[in-house]
Amino acid sequence: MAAEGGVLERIRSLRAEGPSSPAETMSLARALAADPQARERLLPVRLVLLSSFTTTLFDPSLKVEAARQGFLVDIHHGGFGQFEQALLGDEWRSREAGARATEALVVMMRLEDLHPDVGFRVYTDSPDGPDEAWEALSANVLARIESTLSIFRDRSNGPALVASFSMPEPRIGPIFDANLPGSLTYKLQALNRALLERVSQRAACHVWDYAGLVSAAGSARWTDPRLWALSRTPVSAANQPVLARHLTRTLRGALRPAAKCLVLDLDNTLWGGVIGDDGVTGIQLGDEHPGRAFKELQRAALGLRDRGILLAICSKNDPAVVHDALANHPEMLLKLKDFAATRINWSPKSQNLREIAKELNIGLDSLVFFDDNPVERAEVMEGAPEVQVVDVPVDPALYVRTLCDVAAFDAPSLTAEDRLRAQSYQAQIERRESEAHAGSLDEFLPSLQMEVAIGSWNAMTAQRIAQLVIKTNQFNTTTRRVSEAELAALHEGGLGVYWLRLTDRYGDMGLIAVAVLTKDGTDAVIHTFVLSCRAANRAMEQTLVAYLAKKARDGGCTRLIGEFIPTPKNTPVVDLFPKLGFVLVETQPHDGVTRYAYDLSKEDLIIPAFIRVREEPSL
Amino acid sequence: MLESVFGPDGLALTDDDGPGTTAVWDSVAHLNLIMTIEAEFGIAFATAEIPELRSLRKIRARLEQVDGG
Repeated sequence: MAAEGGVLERIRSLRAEGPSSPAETMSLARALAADPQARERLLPVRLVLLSSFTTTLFDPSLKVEAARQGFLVDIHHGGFGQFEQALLGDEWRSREAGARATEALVVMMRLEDLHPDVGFRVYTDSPDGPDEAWEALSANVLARIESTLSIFRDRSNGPALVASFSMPEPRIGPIFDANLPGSLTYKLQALNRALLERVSQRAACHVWDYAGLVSAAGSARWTDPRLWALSRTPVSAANQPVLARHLTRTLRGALRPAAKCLVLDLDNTLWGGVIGDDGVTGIQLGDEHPGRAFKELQRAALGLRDRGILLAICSKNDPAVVHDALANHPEMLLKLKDFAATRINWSPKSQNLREIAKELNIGLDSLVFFDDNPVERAEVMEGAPEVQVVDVPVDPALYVRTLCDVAAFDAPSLTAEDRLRAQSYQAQIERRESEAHAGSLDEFLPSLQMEVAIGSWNAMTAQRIAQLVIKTNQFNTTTRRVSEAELAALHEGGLGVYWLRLTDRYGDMGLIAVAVLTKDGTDAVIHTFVLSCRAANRAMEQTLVAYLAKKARDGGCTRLIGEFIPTPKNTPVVDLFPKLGFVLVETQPHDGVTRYAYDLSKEDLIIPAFIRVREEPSL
Repeated sequence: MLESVFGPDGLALTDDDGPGTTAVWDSVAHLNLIMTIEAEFGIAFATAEIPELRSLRKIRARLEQVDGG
């Protein structure tokens, strides 16, 4: 019995393409039939197949694939070419006593079965209207489908799926058909549109994209002519598991609510490389290999967001670095605002996923987790087994296909609410964050164990200082683009050019801030103040300005003047000086320079106690 | 292979058995068996010979031909 108990596990561990052979399919179907305990774990569905061809050979594939997707199907075949009449008796009804299995109807009509001329004869539209023979046969087909659906709906509340019309195979003249107005290519498109109109008006009725399935699988090899000849089965043995998977996935989408949130890892998932090691500019992300695969994945994630799927981040990383990358990397399609929740920390991911579900007020089973790291996936499967974990392939080139193929996101409809959902969550988050921010930052910063080194301009740091001064746009108080030579002159002629280097428990962030201090009588003037945005909100502003105050006092000054020149980009530092206790002195109308002053006899501008400072001797 | 197609009864089949000689070997099972053999052996039978493979003995003889060739 122990061996039999594992049939579901064997089915679930099948490779993505399904069983490797008909023998394996049949063995698994048989093992499932013989295992009541495994069957207990599946949702029973009475699957009624009405078709213009033989479907009995599909049974093993359908049973195995259904089990893989959580269903136990009990199949009723309506009989070759029977539709309305097959539903008039009671044989098709769910056979389970008491709590009945969900009844699901599948209608599969192939034009070439009902009208054998299709594919061979020419249907010629005239100026008076479309070809009469075609009009008659398409009206007949649609009418039969509608009456079948009506009869089913009178008797059952279950979902009904109607196969779209595939291109008949074989057919005459396939090469130039798409060049001919009114040809079968266009007639089928119009017929499938008409089918959708009829079907979608009915409750719990959906089009099953059989035509899309056949075309994706390769219509030339879809049918095995020998199997067709001997049994009227138009699907080859190799394609039967493909059909089973597609049909079951469609059924699943009709029966089960779609997952609500895609939780993404960052390093080697949303971009190539490890951002903590490689830096924001060192990650792989762009339109060319190797960055393209990651950019495509971001595009697909945005596509899911358009469809109402919330996005979340769960990453072991430094939040400041990640925020910098999301805000500033030129190839980054996903921005912080696109994520409804983020957990960027070093806690176990299963715990973070639980928190995300709680924060978004959705079930843990509504989360889909996409992470390149198999160790993290295993931890989540163990620690939060309800989460749907995507089996991410090793090769990033296969990521986007894998994400597009996640069945959990299949949804039969897309509503206006779906489209707006992500935005409404976003507004909620922004409110919550502005409330919670002050409190959490006070706890967060000391936990980083920050150490800074401060020094003055020298040959070793000159190049990096100049680069930071030239490149920084946001955290730049005056945006004065001072060259390396001018910086040297300012250092010699004023109170000094100073730099700050930051290290925290996650590593060395390098030289991330520069200030130029000049002297004007008894005023020390902060001529330039720049900070790399990945070090923003880390109390670096306060640390460096407090250090400048000390230097100004040492230089015999009584006031420290902060200058601010607004640009379209430097709003993050608009409040820098007032926040640090400076008072407004003046705003120059002609150049827009605003000056703030700090009285150096005051001593409240100090380096935060949780930051360890080392002063580098000048060389 | 016989067990996967016919279930436990497959093990009791004799060389004389074929479509119709036993309840488990119906026309659907016959096609399932043919599809299984084709997949396992990497061969394709002609349409006309599939119904003619009317016993395990005939199937074995046909497969020996393939091996010999």
